[in-house]
Amino acid sequence: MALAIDIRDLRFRYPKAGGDCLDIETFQVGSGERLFLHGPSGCGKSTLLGLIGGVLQAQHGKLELLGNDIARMRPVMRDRLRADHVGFIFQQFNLIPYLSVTDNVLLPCRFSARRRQQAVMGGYSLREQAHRLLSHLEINDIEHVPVIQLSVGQQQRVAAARALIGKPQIVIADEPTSALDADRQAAFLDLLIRECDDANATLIFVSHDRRLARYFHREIALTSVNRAVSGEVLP
Amino acid sequence: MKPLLHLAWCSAWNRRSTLALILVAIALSVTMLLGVERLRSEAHRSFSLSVSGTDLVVGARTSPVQLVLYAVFRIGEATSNIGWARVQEITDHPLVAWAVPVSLGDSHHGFPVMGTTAAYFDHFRYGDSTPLVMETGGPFRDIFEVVLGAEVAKRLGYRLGERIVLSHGSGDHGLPEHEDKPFTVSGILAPTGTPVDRTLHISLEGMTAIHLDWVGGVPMPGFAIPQEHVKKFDLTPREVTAVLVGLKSRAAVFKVQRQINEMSTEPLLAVMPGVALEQLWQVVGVAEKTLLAVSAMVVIVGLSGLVAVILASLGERRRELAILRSVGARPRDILILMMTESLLVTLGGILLGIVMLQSASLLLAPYVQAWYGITLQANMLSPSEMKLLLAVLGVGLLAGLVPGYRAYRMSLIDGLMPRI
Repeated sequence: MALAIDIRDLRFRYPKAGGDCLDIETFQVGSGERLFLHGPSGCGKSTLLGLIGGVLQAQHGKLELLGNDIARMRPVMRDRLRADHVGFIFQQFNLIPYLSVTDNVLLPCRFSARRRQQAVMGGYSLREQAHRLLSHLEINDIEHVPVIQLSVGQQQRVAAARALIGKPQIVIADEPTSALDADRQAAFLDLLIRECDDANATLIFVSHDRRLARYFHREIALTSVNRAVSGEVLP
Repeated sequence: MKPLLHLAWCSAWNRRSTLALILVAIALSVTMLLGVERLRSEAHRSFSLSVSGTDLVVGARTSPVQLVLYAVFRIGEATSNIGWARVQEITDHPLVAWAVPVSLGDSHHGFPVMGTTAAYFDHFRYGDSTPLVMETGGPFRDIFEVVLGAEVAKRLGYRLGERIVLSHGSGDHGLPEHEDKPFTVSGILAPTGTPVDRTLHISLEGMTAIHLDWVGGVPMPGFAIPQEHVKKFDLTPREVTAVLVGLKSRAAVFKVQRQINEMSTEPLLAVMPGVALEQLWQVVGVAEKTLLAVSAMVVIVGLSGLVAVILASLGERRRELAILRSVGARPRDILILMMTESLLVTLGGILLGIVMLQSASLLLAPYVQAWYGITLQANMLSPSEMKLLLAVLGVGLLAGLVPGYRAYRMSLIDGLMPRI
């Protein structure tokens, strides 16, 4: 199976920090896999996502994203790779308040030609594609509602549509359901997983709520792979 | 670039109430800057258009600037006069085509009274060699007739045939009056946009006549010459303030100027009006530059406000910048986004500033014309104004670098997770 993410001997330390924040011997995610990543706060989850997203650069080791070693790449190229191949969903406040729902969904297409081309592939216009994704995620008729007036659940689904538009190979969701109640959590996860499967995207889902692990192929505790935090807790 | 422009526009629109205030502040500062520049250039233009076709202005020895100021612009007063014999000598000079003597010192309701000859109306030129034109009536033919400038007639509401009394000396109030010898309006000149509009023209003989029974600036006590008897006296003036000279050939101007300056009979000064004006601008230049510098400071203050407002907004926009980073924006994009935003506001301020300046020019033009004799025109932007605007835009761009760089650093440090 091809690997979406392949990490070997990766070490990262924040500037001025006393010790490593992250020290991973191996961490691999297969293409199309659904991975559940959990761990207490402060175990380096955000740092790992920053490294995979290419906004942080490791001091040592290898980090391959779809076969490209981004640990050795120039920042501009890492930004490009992120724009083209990775969709992000965060815990909360995912949307730009002054853009419409559609413009929020289409943001990645503004920064990546590849995502733009992929989005219009089926003969849809960008706008139609955005609406199609939104209706797949079961939100309709909110085009003219200002995004700040959407419910949290709606906001998260708009964010999911943005992460999925233009078929990125990797979708990273960082606690996207922690602001939702149990029923909505389940509904959101069902939709997200269905869409990721449709797009054949790798899904990395970060959460501390291990009850959600049953939706995923594999479950990893970051503390078990991060040698830097066995015992000590870092920011 | 285009998506960033769209983002910058939406973001600026979202905070329009704050940015509009700053935009208006910048617009006001731009109006002030352009206004100073426009007044400066229009003053230059008005002054240089006030006299043309006069090759030399001759007066008693003083500074060239002072001579032109009082002889042509009726600003300030002559310290001494030149004898009538010199006027004759200059008139008879073989290279001189015409010479028009002028005699100043009296006034009427604050407007200067100028004694001259009827030849003045034939030879005086302004603007692009435009001659004086009578709106109604004609030049003075009698000793006690007066020709009014357009502004005098309009402001004081005088018509042809009106009888007016001149005051001795210049100023507005409390002057002794030549009430025993009133003048009759014989003609009114068409507007010229020059000091001519504010002048009352009488004959040199009239000027002599009203001072026949005066000594040392006051009527001679117990001695009065009635108006009807003045013709019994020799009314040839003994001295005049200055002489406007036209030459047969402009090429001779330096030669004639030297000859007049070297006259041994009386210390005289002949100046070319254009040269004297150049000297004037050099003097006034310091004040103009100071004014311009102050206006530039005001623009800087406006742009500082812009920087402060955008910097203050960065705190609440950290989340937004992190989202943009997550969807693929490079730190450089964040910098451009911020700079575009400040550029949009600066540009808006400049455009509004231009609109305000043009409206102000249209509204205030009549007043500026009346009070300062400067013709303001709401014309297209001049090259020097364009230069100033480009400078404002450039400084605006530089100012945008401050919040831009700050956001750039912030987005590098924050990455995907702002530490709020």
